[in-house]
Amino acid sequence: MSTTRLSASVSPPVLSAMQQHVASRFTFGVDETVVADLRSLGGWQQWMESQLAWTRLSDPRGAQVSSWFPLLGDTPSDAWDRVKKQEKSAWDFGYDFSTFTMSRKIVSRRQVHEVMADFWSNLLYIPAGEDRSFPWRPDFDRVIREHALGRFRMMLRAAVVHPAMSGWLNNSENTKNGINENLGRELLELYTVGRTAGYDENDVKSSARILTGFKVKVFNGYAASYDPKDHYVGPVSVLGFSHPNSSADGRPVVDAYLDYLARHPATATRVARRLCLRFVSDTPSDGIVAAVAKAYSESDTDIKAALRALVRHPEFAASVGQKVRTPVEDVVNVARVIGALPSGASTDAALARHVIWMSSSVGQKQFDWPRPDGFPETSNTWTSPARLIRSWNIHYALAGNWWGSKESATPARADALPTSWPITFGQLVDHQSRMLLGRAASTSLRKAVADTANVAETRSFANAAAVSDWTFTLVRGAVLNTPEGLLR
Amino acid sequence: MTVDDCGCDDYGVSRRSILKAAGLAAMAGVTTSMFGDVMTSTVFGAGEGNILVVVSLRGGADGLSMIVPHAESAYYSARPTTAITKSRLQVADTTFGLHPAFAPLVPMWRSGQMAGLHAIGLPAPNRSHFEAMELVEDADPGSSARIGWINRMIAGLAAPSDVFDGIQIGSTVMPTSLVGPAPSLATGGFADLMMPFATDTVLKQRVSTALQAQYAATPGPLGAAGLNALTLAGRAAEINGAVAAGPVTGVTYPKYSGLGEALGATAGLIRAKVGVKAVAVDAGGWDHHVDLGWRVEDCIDDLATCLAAFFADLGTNAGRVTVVTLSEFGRRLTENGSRGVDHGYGNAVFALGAGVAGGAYYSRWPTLGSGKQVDGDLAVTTDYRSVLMEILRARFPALDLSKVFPGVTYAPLGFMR
Repeated sequence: MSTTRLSASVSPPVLSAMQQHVASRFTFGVDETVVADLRSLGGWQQWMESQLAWTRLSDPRGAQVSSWFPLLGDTPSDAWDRVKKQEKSAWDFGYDFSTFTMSRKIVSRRQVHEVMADFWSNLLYIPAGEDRSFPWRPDFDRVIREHALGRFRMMLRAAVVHPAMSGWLNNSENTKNGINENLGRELLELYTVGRTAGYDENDVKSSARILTGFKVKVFNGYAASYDPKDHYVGPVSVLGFSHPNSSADGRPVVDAYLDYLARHPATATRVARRLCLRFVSDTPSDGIVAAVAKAYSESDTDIKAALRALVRHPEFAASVGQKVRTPVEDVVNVARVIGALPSGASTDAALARHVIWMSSSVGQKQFDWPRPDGFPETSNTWTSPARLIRSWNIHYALAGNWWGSKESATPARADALPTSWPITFGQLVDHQSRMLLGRAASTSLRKAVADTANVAETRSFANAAAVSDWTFTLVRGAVLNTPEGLLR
Repeated sequence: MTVDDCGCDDYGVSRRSILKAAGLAAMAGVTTSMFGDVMTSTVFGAGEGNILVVVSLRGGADGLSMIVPHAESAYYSARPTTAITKSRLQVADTTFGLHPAFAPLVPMWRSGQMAGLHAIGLPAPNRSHFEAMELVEDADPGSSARIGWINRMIAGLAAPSDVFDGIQIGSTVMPTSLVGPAPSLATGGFADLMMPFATDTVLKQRVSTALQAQYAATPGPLGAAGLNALTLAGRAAEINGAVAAGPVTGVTYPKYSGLGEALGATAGLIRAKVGVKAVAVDAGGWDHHVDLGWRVEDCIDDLATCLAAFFADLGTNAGRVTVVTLSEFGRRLTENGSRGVDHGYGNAVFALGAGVAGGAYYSRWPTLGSGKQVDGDLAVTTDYRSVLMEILRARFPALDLSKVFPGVTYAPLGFMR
């Protein structure tokens, strides 16, 4: 890295506008690895395809992360044993799981896969460290990751009846003798067709009846099973799906029902709109939503096909600057572009732990949304004055490592700066703009940073040592705090 | 959906909440001067007005557990494991009584500062958490403008509105009720709203000036939010001082309560006299599909303890503050298979504080007779918007209510003086 690093140049190369746009929307931050991959592959289409074929992308850094969290390897019964013995709490498991998730976002080379795992985890949302689901939460994550770039139909089958979901939305207590509507309702409203599909209270009851029989021994070992004795037998009908449901084992009915919902046109539109909210703008047109929904439906719910249709649509290319990073995306992005990569999580001083609290201080904590509808996908939600102040502060804190984060592979200052000197302060700002924002510095940015640091743009620096830590922190923080620094 | 940790969660807000406030601040005519000198003087002039605090019981609170209709046999037969016997109720009359966990508020009830309202809700049932919250907070079903009712309220009270007029405390995510063209603010607290390098006056000024120039040149919501952020940071220290000084002697909020923290910050904000007119606070964890009995007791205990502390903390300012509780829907009359209750319809509402003709229950009670229920739920006989109108008429008489709640038939219950 040290000889070929992009930052060695006084004027590091930047991507084309469309490459930068695609990479910015479909990664958690356009760092040197992303730029290098894009440049070597020749174009954004090739890069996108290589990312969609995620299992073929080598990712040693991403693969390492799970070894930092032995707790997450516990079987559900082992996890419960630890809690019972008061050795650990559900919160500890949630903390490790959230730290694992943040770390993967920062270090993984499989960025599109990471982004999509985040997207689906926010649609089929289960918080971390929640009492009734925590022992199964990492396994639920494995399921989401397995299908994140596969078929939605298969992800839905695996997720809805997963023990973590059964615990979280009370399906473990939903039996033929005592219907609990919670999961049956949210399956329709949140995970598939949505309210506008026009289902009624009888549909909700049928939906809940179909889902009876799945058991989890919540607060008692958390063993998961299927018990035909608890399954409701008899005709069911939901939004045009009907089934005699006459056998004691209802699982084939569940699969047929979930396939029906996944393929329903209202689901196609709902999933497509949500993808557009994440990747295009807060106000996607009906046209782009229809194009993505069509690709989804014609491919039998293939997520890759939906994404290809989305990025090919002219509205995607025209949407530059229309999405603001959430606090989690913001902190992860800064860590990536300044090259602060977690290398472990053995203590609370680890960078991997700090980024959780940093994004929390800005207003969003990984997997801490308390409701099943997931964090808002709309950017304007995250554009409040209070959030901006907190982002401005945390950018300086990250740039200067003011939290004193440990277990971090952050390059030394000289290794983040050019190799040929002298350069002017204006050139330094431009260099950092290219590295942190992916574009040359505008006149107004150079002026803003010069005014912030109270250094003339023409001032010359003889070598890397002449750029003090303080100056470097001021420059990086000021570059990150320009309005564009909050956009993805 | 279910949230276990009663009241301690920041239950959050509408998934579709959109902060347009900041984006349209410029249109509303707000001066975004660097250190807020102009605004501060405006604010102190308005600092002694009346204040509405809206406590949202997120998740769909069970009104039948909060105000128990103890004279109804249907209530006891529908809830074999979770009904509350009459002898345990607080301040019961011939029809209703409060859940025993309301004990901390009984002194306020007895001194006529708290009223219980029943069979309140949306004009038509909606058992979706997210849609129902959206409807309750938008409160203008005929319009697609996506402006919340609190935003319309503050817009009607002052022109131009101030960034501190309407505030969500306890969460940085803006609730639907506050969304709209009048500038408003959502924040967890006030302690961390200082500019970078806050202790270095010269550097802080340079950072602020550079940001001012860049955000002023940025169109849309992001640019406007940046300018409002600079104004906000200029005044955060003063507010935080007032918040940090509290609560007043002798008042304690429950430990580990998100609601208590938010109400404590609200009391500080009110003491700081920055001119706030409406505050939205969330109390989460009311979605009791499982084990209604102890869960709702914990939630009510947290709510009652926090509200009692809040009014004590307000001291002499209490005479300006009215609290109303709202929830997206009530719950089923009949228990489900998990000793819980699923999503329902009609609900209970509480009004506390200034202007309330308290110590009594108010309801056009539909009864729980089998012909009177709606799909197995308590019916709604009073539109929740009419309840809010009744409060606003009494406390903000200058307000044109037809603009805040367009097209609503006003049907007062008589609970305001």
